[in-house]
Amino acid sequence: MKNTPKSTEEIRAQYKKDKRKPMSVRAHTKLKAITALFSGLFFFYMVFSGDVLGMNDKEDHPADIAVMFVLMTGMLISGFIWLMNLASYKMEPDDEMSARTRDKANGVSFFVWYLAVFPLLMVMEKVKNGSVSQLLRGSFYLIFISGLLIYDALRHFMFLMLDKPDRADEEE
Amino acid sequence: MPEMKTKLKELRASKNMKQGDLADLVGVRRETIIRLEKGQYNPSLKLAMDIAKIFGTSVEDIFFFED
Repeated sequence: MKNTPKSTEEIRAQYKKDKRKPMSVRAHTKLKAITALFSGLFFFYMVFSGDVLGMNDKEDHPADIAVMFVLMTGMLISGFIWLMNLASYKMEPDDEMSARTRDKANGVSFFVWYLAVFPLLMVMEKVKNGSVSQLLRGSFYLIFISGLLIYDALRHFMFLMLDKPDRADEEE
Repeated sequence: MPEMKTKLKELRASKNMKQGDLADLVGVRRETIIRLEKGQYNPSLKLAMDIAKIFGTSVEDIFFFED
């Protein structure tokens, strides 16, 4: 535990010592956002197609399979790229401004996520198959995972939006 | 409400320093220096003091408030 860096200075000092190629805060946030988005949508669609659209039958549903395939491929490819980059690049740590921006992004995202997810859960309850609540049917863990992943994607995208550089921000 | 102004850009230019060089010296991203120069970001006391130390001046000479 002694070698675990604590302060921003220690983290940045460790980052400077690393000989690997650097990856900027914005670049690795983009990768995390895309991976979380594909993963969250994939898990959400698993619940949505099965429990809400009723595609659990033995019949083939080409459109359903196509959507699943696209989301799963996106999740696997972005996850793979993320892992490969994690090994090859050193990730630039947050500085004080990006840490503040991230806090702000987390707060705003939670508000947006809550406003969107709460009604969505209500709708899913309303259109449930049969008389048993979706939340009691064992799909709850999928809803939970997809909710977390979508929030994760949202906060990363929100950070990218708040941290967006101006066009005039050229190197001087 | 008083607005924060800064002489950071002029000071940096006088030392022939790039934004990235200053960012490396004080341990922040270049984006942070850009926002500081535009007066869009209020630095922490530590960052302000680190920058002042680099230019051998006081914090008040770099960052000040104007009505």
